[in-house]
Amino acid sequence: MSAHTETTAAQPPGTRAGTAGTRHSGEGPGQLEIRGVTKRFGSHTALSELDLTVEAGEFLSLLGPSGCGKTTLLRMIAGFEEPTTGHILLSGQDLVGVPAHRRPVNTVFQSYALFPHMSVSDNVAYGLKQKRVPKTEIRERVIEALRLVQMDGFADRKPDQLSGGQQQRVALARALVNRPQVLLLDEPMSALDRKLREEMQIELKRLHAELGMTFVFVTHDQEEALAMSDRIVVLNAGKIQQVGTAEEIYSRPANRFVAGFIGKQNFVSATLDSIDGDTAVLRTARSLITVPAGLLGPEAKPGGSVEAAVRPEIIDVTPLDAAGSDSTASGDSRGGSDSRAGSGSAAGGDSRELTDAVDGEVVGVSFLGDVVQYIVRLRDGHEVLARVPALTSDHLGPGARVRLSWGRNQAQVFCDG
Amino acid sequence: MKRFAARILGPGALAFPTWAYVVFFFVIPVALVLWYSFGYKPDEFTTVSMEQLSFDRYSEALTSSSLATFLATLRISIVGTIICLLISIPFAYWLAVKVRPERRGLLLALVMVPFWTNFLVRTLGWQIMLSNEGFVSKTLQAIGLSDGGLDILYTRTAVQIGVVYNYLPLMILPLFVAMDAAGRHLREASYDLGAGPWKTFFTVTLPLAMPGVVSGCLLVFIPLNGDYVTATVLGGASGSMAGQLIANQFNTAQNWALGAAMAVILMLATLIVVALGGLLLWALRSLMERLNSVRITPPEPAVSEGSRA
Repeated sequence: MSAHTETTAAQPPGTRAGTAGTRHSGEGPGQLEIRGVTKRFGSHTALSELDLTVEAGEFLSLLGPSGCGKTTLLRMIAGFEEPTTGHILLSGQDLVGVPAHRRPVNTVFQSYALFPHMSVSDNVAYGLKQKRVPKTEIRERVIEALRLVQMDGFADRKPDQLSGGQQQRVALARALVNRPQVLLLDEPMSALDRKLREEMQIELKRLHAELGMTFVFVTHDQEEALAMSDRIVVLNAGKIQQVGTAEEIYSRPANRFVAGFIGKQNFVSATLDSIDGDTAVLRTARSLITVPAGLLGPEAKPGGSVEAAVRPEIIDVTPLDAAGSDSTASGDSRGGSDSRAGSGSAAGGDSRELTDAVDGEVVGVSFLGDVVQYIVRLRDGHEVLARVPALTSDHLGPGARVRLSWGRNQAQVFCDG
Repeated sequence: MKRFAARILGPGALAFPTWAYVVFFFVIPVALVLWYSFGYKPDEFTTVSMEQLSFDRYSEALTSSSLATFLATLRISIVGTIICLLISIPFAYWLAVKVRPERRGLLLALVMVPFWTNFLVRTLGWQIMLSNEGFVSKTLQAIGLSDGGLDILYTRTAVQIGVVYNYLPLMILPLFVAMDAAGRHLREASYDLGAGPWKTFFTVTLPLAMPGVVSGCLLVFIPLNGDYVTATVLGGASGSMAGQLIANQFNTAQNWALGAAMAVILMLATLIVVALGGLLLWALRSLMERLNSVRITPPEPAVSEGSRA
């Protein structure tokens, strides 16, 4: 790897520098531009009017549920499908119409697609042979690539003599050895068990940093996308829902779909009651909730229906002392009229005060290792998911009465539109 | 009941129908043929006698005229197998790779339709077609490609055309299955790595379809060698094949010993050609592997030897 690619890898994602020197094909990371790409299969539209730029040297994930069009997009970049309309530019050159075998991109396939009649080294050498690289150089580069994925001891094996994880590494080496401008990864880890998958995630991250290639990674596994990507593109029903860093996508989801797809989420349907300065009041079936007005989009109007979302891990679970008649009593007295709102609403009569807390009863506890997950049933029958760090939790059992509270700024509100 | 059957027949009880069938309808008849080939025809009214055993029937079977027929038979079979292969490879590739899956059933059915038609009837059809009054002949004359009538009926050429037609489905089907199994994923991986369609065909699809090629060749070559109907209908006197020779000895001349010796010679010749073909294929393959393969580990460590199965 040249010094040039090393520096590109070290740059923060999203910088445009580094693309200028890589116009010539074959070496160095490529910048990929998707411009107005639509793909239809008969009457079904798999992707509609997609615009996206993948920066040179970036690790970009395409994330979405199955059938969202992410694999179709990858196959169009690889050249197995052609877009119905639109352009795909690699380092400024239009790829549309260029057959797959003439594109300077390589793919790691979901099924690995190793050639079963060739040894590991022949599989890895296959791409270089097509380019008529001299035999001695092929040999060196194959050895180097196999070493990179820690498979140098298996060169003479046939693919069926390897485990799934090993096959995956060979598939990676077979693509990397060609030094493509863009490496496409089509759910390459979906067949691996969890532990192996986590190892490969770290490995892939390391390889990306080491090689400085542009990686486009397709996955339906949000954890995988969050763990590895510089940026994530969330796709649903053939449309981009949001593009952003892992943190942006997780903590500032652009819409209800992204909020629900990434991580766990508690949703509450409500109508926007009023906006008072920087406080918005949401009316749920039986209570009022206040949220900062800043969370609402500009399109929000009083009377419109919205959905509030609260992540399980930002909810604090406080046990209500069963013996302390105060809290129990207040919980009971409140329950009849206003189970969704916090204790303050009943006690003080002002429903705008402490509405970011509700009481309920623990109906399910699961210990997940690092966190404990509670399912809390509110008085109106809604179930809320809450996660607290396992070390600090007092391990409440089912039946315990608890108060759930959260920081107001951490809730999300989406307008149904 | 089950336990009783297992005790009598041993652990192979479940396979009993198969091996009973093989023993009664293959091993015993072949053994009888082999046995009869050492006998002789004592008089006009007896088909075979085993009182004196000898190899004389074999020398009798290999006289120059029947030897020529044996060699002609092998030639027709080998050429026929090769022509079937050359027709089937592109067709099977097209069917497995290019045709949309929902249309394949129909096309495969079309391949099979002649196969469901009576063997004799479709061969007689070729007799009509290839005669010098037939439409092939007339068409050729009409477009000026041939001066006189077509003169190939009752020749080896007619037999050659007939056997290719009759045995083609037996080559297409296993080849199609093998190429279908080679799979889109591997072809796409090959394109992805920079190999064009032709390169992909010769380095990925065809090598992976080799089991289908081998079984197709066996399915065509072996029955073709013993073919009797096609040669009788289309070959006439000049286009006779070993199958007719053997049938003549059993049916007309009533000399079972000579017929049996000829049958044994035909079987041995078939086996030898198959073995030579296999050897050639193996040699070609190891040569190709030696030329194309990238060996990383030097061949000395004995551990890696086992992996090259």
